[in-house]
Amino acid sequence: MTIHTPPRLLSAALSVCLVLGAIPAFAQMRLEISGANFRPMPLAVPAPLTRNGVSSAAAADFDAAWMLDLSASGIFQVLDRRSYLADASEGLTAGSIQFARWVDVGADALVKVQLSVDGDQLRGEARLFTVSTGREELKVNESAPLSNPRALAHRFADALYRHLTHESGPFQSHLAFVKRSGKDREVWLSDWDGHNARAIATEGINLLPAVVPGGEAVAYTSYRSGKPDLYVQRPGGAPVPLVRAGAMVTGIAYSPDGKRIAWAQSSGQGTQIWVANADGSDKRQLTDTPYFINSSPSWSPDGRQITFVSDRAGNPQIYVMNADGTGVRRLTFQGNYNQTPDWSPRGDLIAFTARDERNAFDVFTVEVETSKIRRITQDQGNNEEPTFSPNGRLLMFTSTRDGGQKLVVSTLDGKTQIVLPAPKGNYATPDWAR
Amino acid sequence: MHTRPTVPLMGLFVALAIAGCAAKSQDAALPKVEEIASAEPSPAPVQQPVVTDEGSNEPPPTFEPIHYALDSAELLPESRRELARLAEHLRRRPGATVEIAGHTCELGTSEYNLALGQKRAAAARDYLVKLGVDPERITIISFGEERPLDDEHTEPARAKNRRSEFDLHLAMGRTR
Repeated sequence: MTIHTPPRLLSAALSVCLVLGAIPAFAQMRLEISGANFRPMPLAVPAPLTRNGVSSAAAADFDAAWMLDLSASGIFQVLDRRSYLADASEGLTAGSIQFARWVDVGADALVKVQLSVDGDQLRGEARLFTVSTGREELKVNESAPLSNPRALAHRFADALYRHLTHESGPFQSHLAFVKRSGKDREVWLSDWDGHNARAIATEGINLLPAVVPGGEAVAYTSYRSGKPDLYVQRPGGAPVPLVRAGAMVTGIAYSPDGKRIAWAQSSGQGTQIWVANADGSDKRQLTDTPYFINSSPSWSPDGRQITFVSDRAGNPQIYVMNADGTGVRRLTFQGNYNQTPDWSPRGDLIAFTARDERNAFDVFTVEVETSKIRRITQDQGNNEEPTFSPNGRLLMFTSTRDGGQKLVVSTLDGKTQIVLPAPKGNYATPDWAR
Repeated sequence: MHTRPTVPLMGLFVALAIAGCAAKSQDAALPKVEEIASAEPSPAPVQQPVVTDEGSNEPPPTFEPIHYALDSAELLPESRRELARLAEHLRRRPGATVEIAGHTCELGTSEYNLALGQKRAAAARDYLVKLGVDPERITIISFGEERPLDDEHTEPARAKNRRSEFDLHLAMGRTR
């Protein structure tokens, strides 16, 4: 795992107000994700304790996912384990912990995990402490199949996230992406972090996947008939045609309630946005700008608006319209190449890819209400195709910063950016399931 | 979309020779290439006599991919010349059809590049139609950035990859 801190501080989006320490002992530890003072909570995360029969491989799998989730969450500054001063014999409960030693390494909070095996289950107990007071803030017991220790880590991470922010965590969600493998373009469905990937379509050209809301299926664009059409498919299942036309049909997007779909369909030299019911019935063309491109639709959280890219003004820019095609409004005016808008599930932001004045591709967000632009990436290769986490607090996108094209998860201020550890390959067009 | 058998060019020629004069009657209905081409700023006048060459032993010409500027689907002067050659070829072989495949370079996003490849292929098609080719004889497809000719991440490779390719087919059922 590589943790990147951009060389330039970008304006803060995710700001964390710490409400602990100098507060009455009965108050709850609470992270409020708002305001202008960015300060992730310094958190100590010692390696998990293990009991009866937990293999070192299972513990290592758990730990890798645990550290990735906490580091990527944006609400913690995970302290370097090499600095820890506590005895190796220190236990799980407050009585066995020397909190002064955790104060000394700069921790505000400490989270401990103990793993054990129960039949075919990996059981775990996690406890969160305020270091200054020694108070136990949270105790969670969870289990997961022994074959998938990472699932246990994701459960703990979401529990911690929810406890501290009163918002849902994104760590038990799914991700669909394209892997470029030789001439093939493969669609995969995985855990949020790219692990436990299951093949959807691996032969020929398969592109632009979208996870079907609330389901295990993925809709995508495939050339299997000879030209691009839309299909929907479960892992191990057969592709089911969803939208076919005489023209090119690409890039499906689901409305957040899963009832409607939008896509791009070519007509002459132009490409237009279409919508339909989720089963492909009741098709309607929304844009009508002959000769111009309209593509990459993405729905607002209430399903009443759609953002898309259009070159109707001479070059690709981000637009918003009502879901019936009325009220088209241009959102971006900076630069001459803005593409792949993705509407945050929180509604406030749209993330997009832009080519800047130096011909570098970078990820930006734009505020829907004010059109205010914020840069997320800079000077780290080309960064493209952002997708919001289901809670709207993180972004994932592709990046060439480490060679090849990899997936990166980032906070909305760009301050914490992590290249996802994944098998070698070139990854494209991630879609983080809502 | 139905797929047609791709016939190698020599085979196409032989097959057309067999199809023979059935196609000739259509010839008179097609406008002459040079009349239309002269209205355009760029294409050089096509000087060949207006006859079909079915039955001759002349090997059919090959058609090079045409190229584009970054982010653009505009036809360059040399592209118009190549399309005029292709139009002339199609006029002489009324049974032939062509598939135009639009491609982009790696720069830009996958989804937008599919639309841009489509725009490039459609612009080439529209020019052929302007030159008198029946639109029914042309199909277009976009591969966006997914089928590069050159995988290098260099500007010369990208310039090569921004292209439309021409795939000639013999539609056995459409020779009339």
